[in-house]
Amino acid sequence: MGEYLQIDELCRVAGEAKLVLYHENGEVKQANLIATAPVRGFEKLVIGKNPLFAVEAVMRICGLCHSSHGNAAAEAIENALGILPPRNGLLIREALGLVNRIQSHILQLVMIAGDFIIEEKRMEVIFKLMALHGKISDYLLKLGGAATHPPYLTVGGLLKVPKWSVFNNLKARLPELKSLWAEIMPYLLDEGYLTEIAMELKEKKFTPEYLASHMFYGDEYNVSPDAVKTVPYWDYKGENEDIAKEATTQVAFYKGKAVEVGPRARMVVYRSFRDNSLFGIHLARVEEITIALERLEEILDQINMNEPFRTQNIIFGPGRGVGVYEAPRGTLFHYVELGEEGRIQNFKIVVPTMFNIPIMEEAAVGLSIQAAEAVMRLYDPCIPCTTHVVELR
Amino acid sequence: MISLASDNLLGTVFGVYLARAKDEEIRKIKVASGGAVTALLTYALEKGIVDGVVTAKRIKGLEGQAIVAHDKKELLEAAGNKWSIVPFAARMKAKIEEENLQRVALVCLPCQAQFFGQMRDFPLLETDFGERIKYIISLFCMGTFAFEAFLNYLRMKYGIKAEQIKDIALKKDFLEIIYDDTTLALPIEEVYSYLQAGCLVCTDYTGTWSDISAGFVESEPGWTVLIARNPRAEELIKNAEKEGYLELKEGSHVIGEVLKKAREKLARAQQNMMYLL
Amino acid sequence: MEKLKVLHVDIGGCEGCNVSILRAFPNVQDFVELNMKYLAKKTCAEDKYDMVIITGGVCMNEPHIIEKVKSLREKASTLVAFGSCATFGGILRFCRGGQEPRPDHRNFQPINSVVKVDYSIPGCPPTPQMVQSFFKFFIAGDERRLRLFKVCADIKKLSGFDLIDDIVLTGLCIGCGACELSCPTQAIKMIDKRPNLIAEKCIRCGTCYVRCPRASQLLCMGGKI
Repeated sequence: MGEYLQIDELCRVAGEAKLVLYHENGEVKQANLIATAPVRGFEKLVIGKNPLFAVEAVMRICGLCHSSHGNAAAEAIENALGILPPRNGLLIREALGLVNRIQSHILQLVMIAGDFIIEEKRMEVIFKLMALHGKISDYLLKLGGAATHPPYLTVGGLLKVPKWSVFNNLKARLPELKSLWAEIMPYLLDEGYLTEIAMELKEKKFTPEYLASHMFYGDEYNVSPDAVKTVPYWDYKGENEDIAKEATTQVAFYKGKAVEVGPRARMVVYRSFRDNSLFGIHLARVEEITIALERLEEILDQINMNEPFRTQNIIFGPGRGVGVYEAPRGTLFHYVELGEEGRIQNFKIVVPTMFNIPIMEEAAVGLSIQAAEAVMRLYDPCIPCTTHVVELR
Repeated sequence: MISLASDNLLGTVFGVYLARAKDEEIRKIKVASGGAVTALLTYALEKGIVDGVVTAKRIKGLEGQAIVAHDKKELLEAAGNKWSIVPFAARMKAKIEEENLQRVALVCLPCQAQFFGQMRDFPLLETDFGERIKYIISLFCMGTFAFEAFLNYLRMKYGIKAEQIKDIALKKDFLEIIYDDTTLALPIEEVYSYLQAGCLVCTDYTGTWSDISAGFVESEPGWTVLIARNPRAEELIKNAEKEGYLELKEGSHVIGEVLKKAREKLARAQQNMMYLL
Repeated sequence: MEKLKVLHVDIGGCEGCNVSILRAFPNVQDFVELNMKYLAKKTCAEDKYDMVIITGGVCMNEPHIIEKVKSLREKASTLVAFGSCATFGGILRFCRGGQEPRPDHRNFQPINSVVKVDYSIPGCPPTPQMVQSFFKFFIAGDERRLRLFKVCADIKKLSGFDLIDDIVLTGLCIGCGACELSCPTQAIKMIDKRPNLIAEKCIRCGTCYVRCPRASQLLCMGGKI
């Protein structure tokens, strides 16, 4: 099946992964993305623990999409307990998630800059992005208590409410943030700054099926959480792929099919986004930051300081629940089963990258080797998340 | 200027001075100490070098509360020896954030100076506010009281109630309790057991993590010893003199006396560690 | 002045520490030449680095990771464990394996269980400013300020529980409230001037311990003088 090329250390993605390509004269025939990060087993380590710890713990699955895991886990546990946080709590949670989405997208843009942005402008763009990252991270610090793994995010709403002045201050700083972003955007989109790889991806049409549950937050009723099935990577690849045995990940299918999740899926399902090239994913991601900043402003306006931020008198008991959340990389599912005293009995997590791996491998076919590598980054795989996920029964 | 090795008991010493306030009003209130710290902070506040001073104020008996002082009047109200530690850190953070202070000076004890100094040098957490701390002023410290226990002792043995106590001062080997209009002198050994256990194993007398350490020595009554630990601190002290807030004289001759005290504290810590650790 | 040649490698963490280092990069680039995965096409290419920063815990069931850490030690003049997983185990202390597709990955240890570490910087995650400060003091050779991190390099486990055991239950706590401010999960609350640990929220990051003035003083003296 053509020549074999193995990239042992796929750089500029989050986590350890190998990329194995088969190509003929530089045209990729088959691509395998092998995640090699160790499995830390977060679903197992929360068993028997208090749900409050579970939220803290699962946030630490990932340092890039911490709030997303926090949101999904809190949603799942609330679903199991049959409670709904007050409006303020939900709004803030959405805000934490959106800030996290912006943080994560910016980092992806930093990492893809090496592929998409011409060398003369690259570092300039990266530094601009990092400056924006610092500014947006401050929002998570003020609202959630930390710029990574926000501790105020908990079951039932918000653990600690920031002062009114904090909200005002954050609101006042948003215009500056928006104009900073508007300044960066042209660098990411203008053809004059883009490389040949970016151009190649612009030409390549790719339209898989999409899965998304909400534009901003995530809604379990817009999807069927039961229709998600996962298999170990080597089962998916079949026995003849020796290298697949090294993989420490699983892949996920929705209603038996491979689906794309992430910014483009959301933009296609909930907005009238119609770019069907691979570069469209990049465009969708850039667009999503703009939309997220708008939504953040709306949320901050809607907070009512006279209303509660957390459900009072939560009674922990047995139950089953699911939390669906739109993480930066796509739809994230948390399934939880609470036992006696409401302790965790079973926890399963299906992360967006598990859906995307088959799609990424498919998308790379027919591209040049360099572009195929860029496609892996384009989908922003999050290996730490992916390698901590259990088989669904 | 003298320089000591950095692993010295007193930490980095950039300059040692004896100082007292030029302002009569401050001197009147702080007869014993010379009021140099109050004067220095007044200077910093009035010239806009800092926008607030966080310190402890004694509210009742020995109990303290963290407050932010914005002018001389508020500083004077908080003046006096601190004999109890206040759960300072969280309150302090709340205060700084509430008032959105950007450049604060802290007056604290060596242990707190260590915490804030470490926070400033090594911000491990995003929630740290080290960059807002402009000056850390540490007071010489022989230990803090487990004040509930100490007050109870005073009440049981001497019939002194918390609200009667006006001030407490250390004079040679005696602790003077000034209540109503009388003074009770307690031998220091008598009250040692009411110091917090943690203070008994502490080895830091001056506050090595601070910018400026301040305290008194017996041989120079009416003067405050100021130890500047970096050029920034030195500059503040020198400028306060130039602007007429401070009266300053060279103080390297008293460093031995400070060192003696520090050794005493170290010896005490060593001894106690044998029992406690 | 020659730039400090620094390599960053993550061996299986959550990437939070990596982001911290990346965020510090624009501010340290004048004196540090940083080779990290987020920015480079290839890492570990050279034989020798002035400093290697490792994040994440070592999976003891994965020989190639142990080998990798050992080879990094060879390459490094100074080895820094960055973040709680790498220094004291952190949240990875809770791992017990059993999870598909690799149920055999059941034991994670801090870096210093495998190789000698020169400096350990705990935190979940430590901030970008911390990275800047560390480089600043390291380049200036300020051993006194770095002492705490040097001492931590020989410690394999520190947590809120150790703080309670060593400082609070022994009566050495002076009630300053430093721990309360240091906890990344809000597991410590001051009650009657003494810290109370909500046991199940402690993720074993050790930040409170190194931040406690009493504990850090004792640590720096090695428990005795």
